[in-house]
Amino acid sequence: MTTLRAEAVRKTYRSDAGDVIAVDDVSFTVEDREFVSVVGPSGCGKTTLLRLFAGLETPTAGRVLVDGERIEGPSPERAMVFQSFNLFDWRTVRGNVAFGLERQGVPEAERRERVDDWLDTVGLADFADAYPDELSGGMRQRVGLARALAVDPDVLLMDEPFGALDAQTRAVLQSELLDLWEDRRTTVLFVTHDIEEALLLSDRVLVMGAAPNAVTRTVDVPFERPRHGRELETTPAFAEYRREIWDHLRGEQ
Amino acid sequence: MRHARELAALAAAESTLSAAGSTLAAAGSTLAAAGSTLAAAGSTAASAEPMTAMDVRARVRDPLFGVASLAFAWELLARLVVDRLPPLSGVLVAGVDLVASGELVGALAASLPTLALGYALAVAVGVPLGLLMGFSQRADALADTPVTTLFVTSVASLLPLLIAVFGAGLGFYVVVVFLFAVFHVTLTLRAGVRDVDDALVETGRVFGASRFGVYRHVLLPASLPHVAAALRLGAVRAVKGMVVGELWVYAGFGSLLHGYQRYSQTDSALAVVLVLMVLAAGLSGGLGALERRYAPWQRVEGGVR
Repeated sequence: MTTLRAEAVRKTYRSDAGDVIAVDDVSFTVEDREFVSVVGPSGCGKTTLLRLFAGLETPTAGRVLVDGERIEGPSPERAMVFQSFNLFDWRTVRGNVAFGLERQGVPEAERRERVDDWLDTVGLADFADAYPDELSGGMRQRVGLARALAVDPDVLLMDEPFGALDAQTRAVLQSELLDLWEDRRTTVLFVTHDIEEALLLSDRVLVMGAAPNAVTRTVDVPFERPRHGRELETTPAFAEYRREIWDHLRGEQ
Repeated sequence: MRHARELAALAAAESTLSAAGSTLAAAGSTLAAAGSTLAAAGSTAASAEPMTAMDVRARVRDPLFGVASLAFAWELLARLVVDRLPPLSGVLVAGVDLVASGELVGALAASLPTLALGYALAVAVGVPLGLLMGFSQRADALADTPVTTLFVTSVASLLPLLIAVFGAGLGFYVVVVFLFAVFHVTLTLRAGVRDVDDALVETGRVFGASRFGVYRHVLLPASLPHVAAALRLGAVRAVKGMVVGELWVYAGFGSLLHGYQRYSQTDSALAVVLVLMVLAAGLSGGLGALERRYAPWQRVEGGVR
């Protein structure tokens, strides 16, 4: 059971031009094992929102809760996948995936087994001893995904994880993520600016606007699972949802 | 007290050295290139990338061609234009004599211990200090002004003072080598550590690294390539410091250089300069090979950064 909850969360930054409001009075709940996406234009505060849940930022006002408890700092219970991968260049693929388990003091033999399992799952078994520099963008993000999943987190926080990839690789990784999530449903908060990606993956989409940087609309996504990208994206219903969110975002600006 | 003639000799030798410096850099990159070729050839890593024709050209052929052109230009210039400049061939012959007479071995025996000692001290102080200044804003605030002030001070101008304090013995040479190298090591390393992406630190925290764990498992390994760069720069500076110290109070290479210059044996003097270049480039190239061995994720092309 892991739920995420934002209660009247506000986050402001000091700058020379006065206070900048990054997140303005946002409240929502992500239920246990729910996949929720946040979409919105650049600068709408969606990444800040994710960082608040990661414990990398503290709210200026309001509360950010996991299972009703205030978040005090980062924790592998809420593992993160980053847009720019943030892999450790000096570690091999295996070493990167093992990082969180090492910090938790998982014994070497068990660690190795779990890491190799995940490398198998994301299709990187043959690259276990390669360094991140030697991998393509798609492979690097598979490492990022395996690193996050290896610590067996309650929550997966994903910050535009496929934003730096080409369209084809993105589609492949989206469908892999769908499969992974079918097998192992964790609570996911997924930030993206790609409306189709949000609709394809999520149970619910939160739409954030800029000025104010708040959630201005919530869209329930009723498509049946398991979902398949190419088929789903060509249905009239999908197009209807896409237009609805698109029109809403345009109306905001 | 030393008088004007020695000062002039020092100035002349230093300018010879700095002129040689650019040649040294060229030779250094050739060495480094040759080293990386060796490393690539000897590598049994998973990535068995075949070297393309372009790689071979960039790593071996072009640098060698650069050095050969320089050698040819020197030879021509000496034979046809500049009367006083001994041709490279003559310098190489003088170099053979230098080895055969045992003078080179003598100079090495006299100079290398002070070089090693001064450099080791510079590394022992510069690496921890540079890391500390990079990691901690507090440490940086404390150390920045003294370190930067000493960094911009000409060490050569401190030589009379150093001789007064340390006498004309081993201590003097070691301190000069140390002072030439230590601030470059410190400041190169500080700049490198500051360059480490904050996002990696956050990633470390997200995946459960403690405050200490972030230093141990993120900042330190991320800084290792910069340590290697700082060590290389420090080694080149240490060789310069060794020569300057030995020109001030004659010893080792300094007395060789002084003796040859005094009797206008320019070919032998230049042979000594060549040996010093090879020494510095060899140290730098050797440390580069170590870096490739122990930091294989980092592929810094070229020599000193």
